[in-house]
Amino acid sequence: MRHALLAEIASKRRVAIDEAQQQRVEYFGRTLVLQEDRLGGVAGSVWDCVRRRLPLGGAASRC
Amino acid sequence: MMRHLESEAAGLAGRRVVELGAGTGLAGIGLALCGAHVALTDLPEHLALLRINAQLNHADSVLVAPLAWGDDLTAFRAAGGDAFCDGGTDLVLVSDCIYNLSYAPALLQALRQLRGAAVLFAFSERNRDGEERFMDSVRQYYAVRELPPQPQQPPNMHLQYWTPLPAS
Repeated sequence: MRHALLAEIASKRRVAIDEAQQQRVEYFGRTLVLQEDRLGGVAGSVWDCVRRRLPLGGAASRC
Repeated sequence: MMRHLESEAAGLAGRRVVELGAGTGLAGIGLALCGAHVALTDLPEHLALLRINAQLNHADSVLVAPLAWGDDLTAFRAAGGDAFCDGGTDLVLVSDCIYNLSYAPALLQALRQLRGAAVLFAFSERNRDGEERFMDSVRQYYAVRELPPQPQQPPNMHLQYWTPLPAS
């Protein structure tokens, strides 16, 4: 529902969508590996990027 | 939220935690690795990503289950979520899930279905009037406490702890 809406908006605004990628983050004293989805993982950040017409790649890192 | 959870993780070992709108599942996976019993939930089309991330991090105990806000818990129960229902959940994690406020009422409904559970709620300010209206609804059912900012927390980000009101 949420991601489908974002994808639709991204498509209409012709925002580039990165391919799925992995990132490593340090929490709980461990290195966690996260696969992101095509939209960049964290929906709220993607939402902001789309609204501001910013590139979507790495949206999760801005959370 | 992640920095707060790091400080609380030891106390959550053995507790049941549900993450709503889990996305990549970062928070829930981290807590599972610290000993919490975790259910990662999102829409059915996003569960494959959650399963991948649980596997990548060897979080084998995590339950990945569908939970669409506004629906009843039938699909969640069928996927193994029974133990988290009927008061079985201690804490619900909700991170950055009200960027689109049109889904906020359904989110609140989903939270109330997991009755009895406290909520750790993180959001970034985007629409103050709309967010205030949402929080007015929340305060009908929960006591809301703003948690102190974590180091490097952006000023427009809020981290709150909601405790269910007795009658809710």
